Order: sequence, then structure tokens, then C-alpha cells
Amino acid sequence: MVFSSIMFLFRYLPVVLLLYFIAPKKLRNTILFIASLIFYAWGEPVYVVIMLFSTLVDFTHGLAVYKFKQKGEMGKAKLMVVSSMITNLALLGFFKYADFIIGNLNLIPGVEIPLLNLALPIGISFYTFQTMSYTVDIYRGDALPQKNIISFGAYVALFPQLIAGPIVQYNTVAEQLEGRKETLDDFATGVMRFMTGLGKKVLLANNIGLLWDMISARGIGEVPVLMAWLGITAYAFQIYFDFSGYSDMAIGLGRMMGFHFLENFDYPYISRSITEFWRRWHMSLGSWFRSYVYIPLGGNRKGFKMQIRNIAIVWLLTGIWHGASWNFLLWGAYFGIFLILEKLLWLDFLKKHRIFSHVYTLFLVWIGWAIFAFDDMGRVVQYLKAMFGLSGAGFVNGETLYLLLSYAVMLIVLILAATPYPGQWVRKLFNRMENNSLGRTGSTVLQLAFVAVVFIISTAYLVDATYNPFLYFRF
Amino acid sequence: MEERKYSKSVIVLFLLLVFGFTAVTFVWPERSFSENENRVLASAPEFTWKKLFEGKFMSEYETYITDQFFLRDEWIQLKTMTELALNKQDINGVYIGKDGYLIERHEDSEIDMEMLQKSMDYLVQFIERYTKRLGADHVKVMLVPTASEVLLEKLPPFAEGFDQNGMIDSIYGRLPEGTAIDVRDVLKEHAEEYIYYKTDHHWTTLGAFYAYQAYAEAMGFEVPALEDVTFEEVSDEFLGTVFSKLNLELSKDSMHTITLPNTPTDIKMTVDMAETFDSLYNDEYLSQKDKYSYYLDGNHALAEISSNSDGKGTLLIIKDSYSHCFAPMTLGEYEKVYLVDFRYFNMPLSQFIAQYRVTDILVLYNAVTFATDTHTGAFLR
Repeated sequence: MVFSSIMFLFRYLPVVLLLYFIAPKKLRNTILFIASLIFYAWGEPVYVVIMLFSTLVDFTHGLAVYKFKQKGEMGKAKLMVVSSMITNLALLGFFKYADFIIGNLNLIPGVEIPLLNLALPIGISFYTFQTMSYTVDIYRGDALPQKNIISFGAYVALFPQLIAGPIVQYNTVAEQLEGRKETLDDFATGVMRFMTGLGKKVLLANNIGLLWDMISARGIGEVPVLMAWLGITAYAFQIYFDFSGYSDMAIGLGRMMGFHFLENFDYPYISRSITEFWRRWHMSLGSWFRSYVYIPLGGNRKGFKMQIRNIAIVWLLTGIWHGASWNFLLWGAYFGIFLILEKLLWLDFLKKHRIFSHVYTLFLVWIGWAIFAFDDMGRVVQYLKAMFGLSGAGFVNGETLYLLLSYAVMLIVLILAATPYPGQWVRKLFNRMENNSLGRTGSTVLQLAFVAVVFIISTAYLVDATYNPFLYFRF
Repeated sequence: MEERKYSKSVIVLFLLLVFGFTAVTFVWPERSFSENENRVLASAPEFTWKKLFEGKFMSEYETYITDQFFLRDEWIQLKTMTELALNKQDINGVYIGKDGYLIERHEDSEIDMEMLQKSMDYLVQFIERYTKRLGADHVKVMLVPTASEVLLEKLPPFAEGFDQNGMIDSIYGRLPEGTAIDVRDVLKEHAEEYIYYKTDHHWTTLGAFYAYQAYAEAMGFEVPALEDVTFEEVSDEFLGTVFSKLNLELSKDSMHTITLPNTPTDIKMTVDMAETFDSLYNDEYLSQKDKYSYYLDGNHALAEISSNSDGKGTLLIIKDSYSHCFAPMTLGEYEKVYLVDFRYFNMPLSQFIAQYRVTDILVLYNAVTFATDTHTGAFLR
């Protein structure tokens, strides 16, 4: 199930919230666990078994790791961690990467292995990463094992972040699983956050996504330079507002039920270097790779050569995590190279040149999206050609101007919404208003009116849902 | 304390919106058909374990609750209004034109170029064949551009789409001498007049009349002047197919019938060899959504029109619905007029032409229907 649907908003959510809050505290994790399984099974009625399997594997491994550790048998504990990682990576490898590997092996003359043609279980890249973090956290002593399989199941399957993140590391929610407190203030904050996310996804991302679909579907000879850049800009906004909107909804829903998840996006498009961009984009993935790959590999502590190697490994993995095809690998490598180059050469230069650093970052990120957007490398090359005027379609045509005019208002809204400024202005205004009680009421009314309008218009778009894609089926 | 009050009001709003709307969806009466969308709405899916494991039950259920969502039409209208507010130049493939004109946008991606190439070949071969049999004076082709190619002044800036002109040019260039009737300039000359509906994809009776003048001239008939014909308004609340794509009423259309000096009075129309009318028009449709079907009782495989006309010969119009307001003007010149629509017509065309002693042929399509028609193989059957 996806959050941005009539089904979720007007069937699943009210029923789950009602059951959750009328249930005694002891039963809430059980309800959350069952509700999450239904949430998952609604879209993947068979694959839910894989998730349960992964849950069970890590639950038992977690206990075992802890037991061996207490007995001081560190070798066995380590073995258990490895066994858990192998199981999870095997699942991921089988369902996500098998066909990619087979497809490439088949390119070797004489090799003909039939493809498995398995559908990718939704969210598998998210929940396998979460469960792996659990056993590692216990091994490192960052968390105690969860004794209750229901609570652990609730952690793995937790529906707010199940299918599109954020990736919640076990140690960040371990205490909340048992001892969280649901409060009115948290619930209200969660509501506001959820509504904002819904609007980002349904009103902003879906709308500009239409423009990208229209442009990317055109034959390459019909895409002049300006249209190619307009198209990739549309894609950049679509994926940002879709993904961060989804994270907002996840964080908001979690908050309504007393969970405090870590942030996942922090206005990535205002970054002034690729290094900064990756600190602001999909932060939960970045910190997962830092905690469980980069640092265990030695990070920057084993000399410069090793650091470069570690960065390379992390970024190839980051790339391929996003999907099993060459363009994602290239995309990861591309950013890895710029991260290394920035570290080595020009990070200081960027810090000193404000405007240049913004242009530089957006330019590189936009090129990155052109690599990311097509899983067919041939089309990546064609689109890049169009962006640099090598498609033979000229610089601009009437259709480009038409699309630009048609989406001008939307683009202005998107640009503003991708920066923290509107939020800051509004907060400043409200702070000033809230000096007296009339102003306080006014500010409340304005905020409520805003979310009500966002929610109602989002509902209108969902009722007439001709376009509502789910972008993370490859992750 | 203040925090509390704020939180409580947020929660009340949330309960109203989410739980309130949910409650309404349960008590709202179900509809089986949406007139505005012209389609059957989903009803509650039947549960089976098989459908559950395949995930089919879930997707059917989602379609069901979305289709049956309370005030569905109004929600869709709200979406359209939002798009208007965002200054989108086209919504759902419809240009928001000046003066309340809603004009369909046709994109290259809608056209199957291979099919179109075949259609062009079929048409040209067909016309060549019958020019030889019936004479070039008796075989004509009229491809009518749609509003987006004629009402240029009404379109948003920079709007361009599928190149109908280019297609018409390349077809006309291949047709035998004297068989093509080009109405593009005529229509453009009158672009300021009411020649296309504001809410429908058809031309108006007036638009068809200007085309008829060109046709009459090409055929050597007496060319009626505008002053000599009478228009009668039959409806002023027509909301057509383009309106339905938007579902937002920005304007309304009026529909007219036309009487030429030589239009016969005693008319018999038989559709699909089954139902016979003593008029070209079916009043029943005027009170329904699909008002355009008032003309010639809408789409049929075959319509046969006979009358007390002084005309000679038998005209076969191979057509789409653009011909429905055009055909009445031809009656004064022919004993009999047949209209054939390939989308529904099964009989071999050559057999039909021979059997019904067709003397004249007119192929009349709007350019977009022709470009997207997949039934053109029937020309050569």
C-alpha cells in the first residue's frame, strides 16, 4: 500500500489509528506489527513471507550474538553476525541482483542462463538493511537484543517506513519500541508533518513528474537543449519531492504513534558541494553506509590510500543499492569520484565561491539525475547528448516554450519549496504574531487552513488519480 | 497551555478530515455510471482467496473506493480548478483557449506513424481505383483539420501539436488530380466565426456549411450563399466531449440544424438496416449528455437516407462523425445518400458500392480521426 492513496487515507489509516489508541499500551506493538503486515501484504500478498523470514532470522541471530558475547565467545558471536549478513544479502542478492548478474553473464559468448524474472519485493532493500543493522548493533554493544519477537517484528515491518524509508537503525529506536509515550503534542506535530509530506508527493512531485514523463518519452531528435534541461529539472524536483515527501509522511506517522525517527532530507538542492549534497540527501542511507561499511572498513583512519578505497567501495554500493543495473553503478561511481576530488582538490575553493559552488553542485547533481533516470545506458547517453546540444534538435523550439509557460508557476513553487526560506519567513511571521493571544489564534488558524487546503486538494488529485507513480520499486 | 490548545486544534482538524471523510464514504450512495466521465464506475469486488493471493482483490477494491468516493465529480472539478490556478496551458490534453474555447491537444505520441502510412496508402489506392471506375468528378476526399489547427488565435502561446497540415498536404499530394477538396483556407478565413464547438471536438453546422460550399463548387453544384440558408437552434446547452475531459464548465455550446434552398422535405433515414426515422435528427438525444448524437442518430455502421429530392445518383460518404452535420446539405443533389463508418461496418466495401449502385463517393474525416483510425484496411475490401 502507498500513503498517497484513497485506500490508505480513508480506510487503513483511520482503522489502524483507532485500534492503536483504544488498545492498552501492552498490545500496541502487536497491533502495529499486524497492521504493518497487512500494509505490506496489501501490495505483496506472497512476498510478505520473505519479510517474516528475514525478521525471524535476525531475531534469533540477535539473541545468539548476545548470548555468545556474554559468554565471552567473541568468535562465535562474530560468526553469528556473518551468518545474519549472509542470509540478508543472499535474499537481497537473489531477488534484486540475480537477473542483473545473469543478464551480464549471458553477454559472454556461449553462456545462456535463463533469467529468473522475479518481481522485486517492495521495500526489501530497506528492511534487509534495517535487520542487518540490528545484529551488528548488538555485536558492537550499541543495543541490547529485543526479547520480544512481536516488538522486533514491529520494528522491522513498521509500516510508516517500511517501503520507502527512512532506514531506521535499530539503536535509534530500541528504547522507543518498549518505552515510547504517545502525546497530544507529538500526535499534532506528526499530523502536520504527514500532511506536508502528502502535499509534497501528490501536489508537487506528481505534477512535475508529468512534465518529465512527457519530455523523456520523446524521440531524442525532438529534444532541443533547453527542453532537455527543463526535463531533467522536472525529474530532479519530482524525485526530491516524492522521496522527501514520502519520508515526511513516514516521520509524521511515526511521530503520531510516539516514534522519533531521524531526519532523511535537509534541503539537498541548496548544497554547495557534492560532499554537502550527500549530507543532505537520503541521510539515513548515507549514515547506514557510514556506520556499517565505511567505518568498519577503517574509514579514514588507515591512511589516505585506504580511505580512497573505502570511499570507492561505499559509493559503488550506494549506486547499486538504488537498482540492479549499470546506470545506478555508474551513478554511484560518479558521485564517489567527485567526493574524492572535492576532498583532494577543490572543497576549499568551493567554500570561498558562493555562487559558483551552487551552480557547480546543481550542474553535477542534474547530470547525475540524467544517469539515474534511465536504466538503459543507451538512453542515458542519448539524453546527455540532448542536454549538450548533440542531438541535432537545436537549442529551443515552440514546444519547449509552451511547456515552460505551462509549468512556469509550478516551477517557481518548486524552487521556493526546495529551499528553507519560505519556511523561515512563515516561522518569523508567526513568531511575531504570537506576541499576543489574538495573533496566536490567528497563526493557529492560518496553519490549520493551510494543511486543510493541502489535504483537500491532495484528495482531489487522488480521487482523479490518473498519475500517481511509486518510484522506489527498484530500490 | 498554548501548545496544548494548538495541538488539540490540529488533532480536531485531522479527525474531521480523515475520520470525517471516511465516515461519509460509508454512507454515500453508490453510482453505477458516471455521465461526466462517460464510463461505468467500479462496484464492490467479489472476494475470493485466489484474487486475494494474486493481489487482484486489493487493486479492485482500491478502484472501487476511488470510483465511489463521495462527490467524485466535484473532487475532479476541484483538481481541474487547481490546474487552472497553476496556469497550466492544457489540462488532460485540452487547451484552455481564449473566449471559453476548450480545444483538444493532439500529440505526435498519439499517432501510430506506421498505421498512418498504411492508411494513406489504402486511401490513395482506393481513390485511384474508383476514379477510374466512376470518374474524377465523382470521387472526392475531404480531410478536415480540427480546431487546434484552425482556431490559432484561440490557442495558448506556442501551442503546437501533431502536424495535421503536413499530413493533409502529403495525402493530397498523392491523390489523383481534382479529387482533393481543401477546406483549410476556407475554415481559416472564417476562424473568427462559430465554426467549431467550444466544448466538443466537432465542427459546428456553420463550419460544415462553409466546407459544403467548397464541396458544391468542386462538384459543380449550385453553391448556396449564407443568406439563402436557414439555421435553427435546437439546443443551447451542449457540453461536449472536450468538456468531459475537463469536467469544468467554462462555456456552453448551441447546436443548429441547417436548411438549404434545395433541401428536401420528405425524408426517410434507416440506420443499420434496422431502425427507420422520418427525420435526420433524433430529438431524444437533446435531453441527454451525448447531444451530438442528435445528428443522424449518432454513430452507425450504415445510414441510408432517401428523400423526395430532385437530385440524381447515389452518394456514398465514408466518414467519421464530422459528416453528421454535413450530410444533410448533400440531400438536395442526390436521390440517395449512404453513410458508412468503418469502425462498425463489416460488409466488403466493393460489394456494397456495386450492390447499391453508388455513383459518387466522398471520403470525409477530420484529420485526427483519419490519422488514428485503425480500420482503414476496409477501403480495399
